[in-house]
Amino acid sequence: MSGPVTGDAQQPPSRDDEGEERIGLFPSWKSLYTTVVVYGVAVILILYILTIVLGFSSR
Amino acid sequence: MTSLDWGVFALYFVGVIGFALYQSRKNEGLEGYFLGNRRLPWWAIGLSVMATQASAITFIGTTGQAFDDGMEFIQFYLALPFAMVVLCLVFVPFFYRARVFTAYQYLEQRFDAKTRSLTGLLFLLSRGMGAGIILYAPAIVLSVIMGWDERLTIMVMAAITILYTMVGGITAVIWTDVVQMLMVFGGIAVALVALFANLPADVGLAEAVYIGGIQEMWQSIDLSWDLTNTYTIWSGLLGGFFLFLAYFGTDQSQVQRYLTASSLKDSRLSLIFSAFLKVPMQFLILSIGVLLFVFYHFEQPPLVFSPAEVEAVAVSDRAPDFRLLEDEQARVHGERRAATLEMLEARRGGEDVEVWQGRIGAYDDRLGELRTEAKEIVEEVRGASSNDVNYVFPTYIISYIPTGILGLLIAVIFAAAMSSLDSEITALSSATVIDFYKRFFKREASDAHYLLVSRIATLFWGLFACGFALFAGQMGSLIEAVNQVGSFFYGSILGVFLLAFMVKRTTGTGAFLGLIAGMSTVLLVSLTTEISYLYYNVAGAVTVVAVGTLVSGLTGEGGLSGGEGESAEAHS
Repeated sequence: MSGPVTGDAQQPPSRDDEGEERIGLFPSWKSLYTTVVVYGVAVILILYILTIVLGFSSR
Repeated sequence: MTSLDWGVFALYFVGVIGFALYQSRKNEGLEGYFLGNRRLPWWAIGLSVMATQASAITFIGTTGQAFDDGMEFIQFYLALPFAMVVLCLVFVPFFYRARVFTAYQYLEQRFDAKTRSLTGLLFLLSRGMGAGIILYAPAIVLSVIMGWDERLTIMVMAAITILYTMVGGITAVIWTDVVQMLMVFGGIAVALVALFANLPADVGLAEAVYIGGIQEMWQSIDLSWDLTNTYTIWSGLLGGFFLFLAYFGTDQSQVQRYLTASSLKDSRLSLIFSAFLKVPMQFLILSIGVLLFVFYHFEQPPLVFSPAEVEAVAVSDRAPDFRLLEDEQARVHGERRAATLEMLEARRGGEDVEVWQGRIGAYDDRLGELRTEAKEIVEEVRGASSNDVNYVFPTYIISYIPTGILGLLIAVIFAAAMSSLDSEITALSSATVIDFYKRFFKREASDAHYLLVSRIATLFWGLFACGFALFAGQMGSLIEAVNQVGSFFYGSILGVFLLAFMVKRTTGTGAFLGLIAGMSTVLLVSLTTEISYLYYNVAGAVTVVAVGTLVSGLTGEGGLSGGEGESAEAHS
């Protein structure tokens, strides 16, 4: 196989991947993940508001 | 379809396959075939991740579902952004650093061969049949709606997919998925625009939204605590979270995608891409269904959309009852149409429209009841549940979409099916070759040998899917069973990977017995309770982690890195 196994099978993520590397518009991975979580919460809130605002049933 | 439609259709296939094969020309060896030499761009992988998840039934089935029940299905996807963050933080680094070809290969590095083989086998069994359904479901709809031969439709779809997948491997699959996903985005936009264009000239967007709101079709969030209801915010967030962790984190058809990235960063970005786009995309697809509901306030829809189901009832002794329902539907629809137009006129004049809202809501309810009664007759006559929702959108495009665009939308349905099928057969092939053939039958051979075997495995799984699809029509309830099989062990497999990543002292025996206990628990839960299948994933994963940890503690085998087993590949 051209891709041999390297190192420990249960190696934890190393710090270099979790550090302050810039990811496009985001200054770090932490800020990108935070944005995704905030986005997920915002989507739920927007859908909830749509549920309330766009419910015209008079029954 | 006219010759223009056929031209658009043919142009699409020639273009997309040519493009994919061109992109895959630099592939080398087994790693090139299954992992694209780990050099594919993150955005292409991200689109492929989305294309793999969105099959044709996602496109045509969920629009029909929204036509009947509104936007509630969107709750199913709400946990996806959160799951993607966990996958990027926990799952992806382990797979990427282990330099594995398959997710299950990692389990032998961590635990042992039996855990790897069982999870791999479960994947092959469920996904092998699942690939058949990916082919069968849209083919049956297209054949009925377009009048095409069902078997020929299946075989053409399968042949094209097998051809470019066999030749170009994962690179061809991912680049085809990119084009196919862009086609799906385009198809969604075209369908929405066409729906607006087909509304009466004086009915604008705000009024269309308003009409949908009278029947609460835009209701996206259900806060009720009902464990038997599949579509609530809680089932979506909890059950959906575990389901997406399992699907994107342990299913080879998705893991294989992000292993093709050139760096860990790109692997993660490909998933984040989906985290941002999936919910809006699904919102737009469901909006098509709600707008269809609005559109059919002005045009009379069929009572049941599936022509085959209508024909079956027409020659049965329930035909008179069905005709009575159709007559009443025509009457109620006419009254609702008149009331809707009157209400819009009054609303434009600034009048209070509450009375009209109540009347239209009552008509909507009655038409819904008539449709339910009609489907009950269909089920009684056919002895199987109606799959009418899959015909709502195709019936609309056949009846109301102009020529040329029709060919494009039919190509989109084909594209959605093929972009899921190609990923499945590549994943099935990689698991077959890496987790079984290379592991148990021929450990040492040349790269050329494994590449040949991989192409044969791709052909085999493509033909298997095609064969399954060709005979699916005679399988009746087996189809539903196959669809449910995944939910029986998805959560349990997730539990095994959670043990591998997060519980250091887990042993191979602990993980294996945990997996058996997890699947047994899910079976027990499904037989003894009425809770939604989305919660099965939670029950399975929690049981595996609990039992696996307990057994590992009791047997006290240690089990830090490498566990009991050592990967055969580690020595090759």
